[in-house]
Amino acid sequence: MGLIPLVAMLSASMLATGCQGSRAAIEVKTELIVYAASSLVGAFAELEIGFEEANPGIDVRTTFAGSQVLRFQIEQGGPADIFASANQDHMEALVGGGQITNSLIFAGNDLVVIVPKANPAGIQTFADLGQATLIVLGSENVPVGAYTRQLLDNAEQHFGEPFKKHVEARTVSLENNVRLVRTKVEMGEADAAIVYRSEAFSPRLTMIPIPEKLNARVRYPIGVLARSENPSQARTFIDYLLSTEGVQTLSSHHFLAVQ
Amino acid sequence: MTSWRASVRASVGTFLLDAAIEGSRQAVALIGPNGSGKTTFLRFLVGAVHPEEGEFILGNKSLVDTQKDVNVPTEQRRVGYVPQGYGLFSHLNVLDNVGYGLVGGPNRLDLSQRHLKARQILENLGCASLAGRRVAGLSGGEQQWIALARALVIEPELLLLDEPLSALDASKRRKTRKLLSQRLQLFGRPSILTTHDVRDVAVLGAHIYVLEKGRIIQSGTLDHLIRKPASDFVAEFVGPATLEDYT
Amino acid sequence: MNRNGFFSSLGSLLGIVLVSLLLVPLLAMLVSTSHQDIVAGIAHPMFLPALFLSLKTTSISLALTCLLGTPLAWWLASSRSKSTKIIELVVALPIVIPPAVLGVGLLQTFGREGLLGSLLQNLGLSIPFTASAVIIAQIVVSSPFFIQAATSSFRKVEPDILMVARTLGSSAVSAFFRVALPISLPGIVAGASLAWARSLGEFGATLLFAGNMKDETQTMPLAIFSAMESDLQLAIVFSLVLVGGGGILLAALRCLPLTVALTKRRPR
Repeated sequence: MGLIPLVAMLSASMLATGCQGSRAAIEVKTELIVYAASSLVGAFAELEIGFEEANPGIDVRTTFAGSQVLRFQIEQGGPADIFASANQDHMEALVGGGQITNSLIFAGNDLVVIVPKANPAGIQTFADLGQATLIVLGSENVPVGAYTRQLLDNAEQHFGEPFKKHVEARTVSLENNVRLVRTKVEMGEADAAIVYRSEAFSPRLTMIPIPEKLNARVRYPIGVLARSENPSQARTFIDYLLSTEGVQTLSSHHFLAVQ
Repeated sequence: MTSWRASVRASVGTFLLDAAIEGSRQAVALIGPNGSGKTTFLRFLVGAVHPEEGEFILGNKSLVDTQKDVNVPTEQRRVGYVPQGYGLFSHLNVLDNVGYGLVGGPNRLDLSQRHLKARQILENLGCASLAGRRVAGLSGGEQQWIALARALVIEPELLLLDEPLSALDASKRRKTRKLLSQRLQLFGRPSILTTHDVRDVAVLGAHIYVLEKGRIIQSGTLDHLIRKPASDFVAEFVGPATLEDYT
Repeated sequence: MNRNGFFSSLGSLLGIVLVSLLLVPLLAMLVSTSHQDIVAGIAHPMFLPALFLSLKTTSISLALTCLLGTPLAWWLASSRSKSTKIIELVVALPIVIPPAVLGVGLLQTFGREGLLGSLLQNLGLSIPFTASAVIIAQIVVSSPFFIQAATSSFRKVEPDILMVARTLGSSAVSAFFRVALPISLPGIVAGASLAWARSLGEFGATLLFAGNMKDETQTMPLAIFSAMESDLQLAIVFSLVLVGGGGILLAALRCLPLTVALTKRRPR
């Protein structure tokens, strides 16, 4: 083959691949930034994958933190498109402040007691909680702690004052992060703790259910930020959460379906 | 009058120090090139070096005897030490530096007596005016006298001076050399000094030991060294002494 | 402007930028706080217990750090053994490990299920979730700073000086206390200040190992973090008090050698 045709062929093929390469580069994905409560970490990782598969043009980036921290960051102008909270108060505050137009509930949760697999305090039912010597709870300042307070108030009405007093007396730490509460029980350093049901499934833990009539109703609201630059893509994401696939993913992570 | 003898065999860095020296009334000078082991020898006498073999007899006391497992701790040896750089305590003033050795132990005195004795010795050395000064402001020469006073105040049996005049400039050295010689005579106890300068030896009338690469290669008076230098170093060392006006 | 002038100005500018970066956030917090905020903050039930607990635990941990760290630093500085290098490395490790991870390590050591768990239980001791845990956490994170500073200070003491002290009748121990320690004191005090500052701000290891309980283990940093969940202004007030109080304590500690020296100079 002559030199010139060879060069021409090489150049043509390079240009062709070059065009293909740059076409892929030209295709810019829409970025969706989601601020989600820490308890949603496992579920949202899976939801993200499922959603991106169905919507290849959208890249979901999620930040997980306590709902109160995320709310603060949003109030300070954080660049989120979507906010998923573990607590309705924070969502209502943002709706009231105009950062979010409206929200809906996409998942639920409730509280359970967890004990280490070895169960050093021998707790079999919720009523046995007073037997524990080292109890760890969420701090009132965080959603799981607020729900726990509700639960304990309900329990006081049902079991009488000593129950709540016992539990409070034996509480040795109030954590700002539900994961930390769980860790201390998993390590066997605490006898018992109260966490979300979604947090209770671990080979190192035994879960003890709490009677429904005493339990707190945890609701997860989700909303699109008013200043989001990608509102329609954001709504698509929320629709995905409410779809059959989304609901399945959430329940596989032990979240309760919303009635 | 105390007599003393010392021998040591110790590995120091890259070479082996293997030397023996002795003395009594007369001052002893230990000379040699840099790194020959002079300071190490003094440090052995003071108790800072652990030799493979060694012996150190001061007066009728055996301070070190490796064969008999004798090793008297430094604080009990009654050996005065003025190291290179003088080693003054920067956190104490001159008076407290000099009186340091009188605070505890066998020489212990109470506060007023301590200060009295310290002032006395400073006067003997002509430094009484320096008593309240901080160490930081002193010149090299002043530091040397303070260090000497500090060592003398405990009335040691043997005095060690490591390059006592090397930090002084030439003009000061002449005068200080004479004074030092006088003081040492007054002191009346054995002393060993290391030096680079033949003129120090000449004025002190010391018996000389030449230490090269850890071994004594010559021992004798200055005249002896001038007449029969055992090495180039010795020949160079005694050079200035053969000139007329070295004092 | 000549070359020296240019570099000198550039140096000053860079320095000013850094100092501003350190100072301006504090000023921003100060400016955002009103008089009423400060009063409300100090009156808050979390405040006094946290302040008292911080002062108590950091004082004890500082004392223990100095007590245990000084002989160690002296050994590191004066020993010729090869193991000093290894020990120095070990001592430096807590600085690079995230405090929360250190907290987990402490739980795995002193906790019920920890290495020393059964031993401690037999002795009737339970350390996690107590003030002792707070103190241990503080010591672990802050002592490296003290030991490094003290070792560095001790290293600067010339061996000749100590030898002279010994020839003057001091035992090795006496020479340490009468000569080595006073000479090294400025560096040691600087190290102690740094260690104290670190303990005062210690958060991660405390949270994991000691937990967060008012009156028991909730030190100022933990209180600040808790307050932040519900009331940001409260957290800011607590922080300003911590910075202000801590700053005064540090300044006082720095002035300590000076006051000691001044009292000694009185004529006798």
